[in-house]
Amino acid sequence: MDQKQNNGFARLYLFALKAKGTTGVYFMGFVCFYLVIGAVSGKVDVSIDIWKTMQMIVACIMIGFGQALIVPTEKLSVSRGVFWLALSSIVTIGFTLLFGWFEGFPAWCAIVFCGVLTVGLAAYLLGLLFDTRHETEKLNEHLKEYQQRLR
Amino acid sequence: MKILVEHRPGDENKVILRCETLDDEMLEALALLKERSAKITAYKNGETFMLPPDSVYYMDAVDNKTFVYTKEDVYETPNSLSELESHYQNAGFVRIGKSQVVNLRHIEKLKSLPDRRIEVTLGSSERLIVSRHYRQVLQAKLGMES
Repeated sequence: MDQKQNNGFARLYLFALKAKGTTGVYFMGFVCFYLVIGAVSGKVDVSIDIWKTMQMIVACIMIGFGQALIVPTEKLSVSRGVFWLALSSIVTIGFTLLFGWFEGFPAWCAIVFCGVLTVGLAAYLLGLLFDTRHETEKLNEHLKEYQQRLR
Repeated sequence: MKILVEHRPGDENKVILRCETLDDEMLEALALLKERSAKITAYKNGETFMLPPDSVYYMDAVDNKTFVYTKEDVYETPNSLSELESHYQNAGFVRIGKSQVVNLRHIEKLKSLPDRRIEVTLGSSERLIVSRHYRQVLQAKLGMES
């Protein structure tokens, strides 16, 4: 029983460790892109207060942990990918509108922010697709070499 | 070891190993030849067949029975899948699932799937799936770093 509990804890710990890293990357993206958009829009003194920071952390936790739960590499499929992308887009757009992250900014700022982040998340899935294709090429190269050796 | 191939007319192909003593290299060559020439006993419609391993595309186990698949036929064999796997692993057979062993010689192409499984297309156009667990086994067999 103790062994089972330990294994369960270890799995949960490793899952959280992986998801935490992803969440951190998304949070960095959210903050940097928010500041860049603010600067580009003409609000040179743009800053993020603690309340907005907490909201962004929560949004990124939902996206990052969602990624680890829904699209881990060993369970990746098109349907899972689309589901995670839709969920992440809803979180991004929902938080942007609900908490008024771009109040006082030109209207295009929120649209560009949500659009670019959604495209960025889709790029992750595209990367996995490229990885799968590369893996297929490598497998077939090695297969042909092996078959040559058998002959 | 010197390898000599002579093209001579005749009914049967012959392999002659000539050596002073049977050293490790010769024993290995002998074992390989023996393995390749060993036939798989298989049954179909009450008849017994001795199948050359090269003619087998894949094998699987269903309900404690082991079946052998060639290009067009299916046979039952008295051997277990584990026995066949260990006996013919040097002849290009590799396990791809809990109940399947495939002959790499007859694989037309491989396709890596997004969920880390691998789709195998055989020369007979049949498709098999390499489970995530056995993906590494296949990759190691093909000499790939996982």
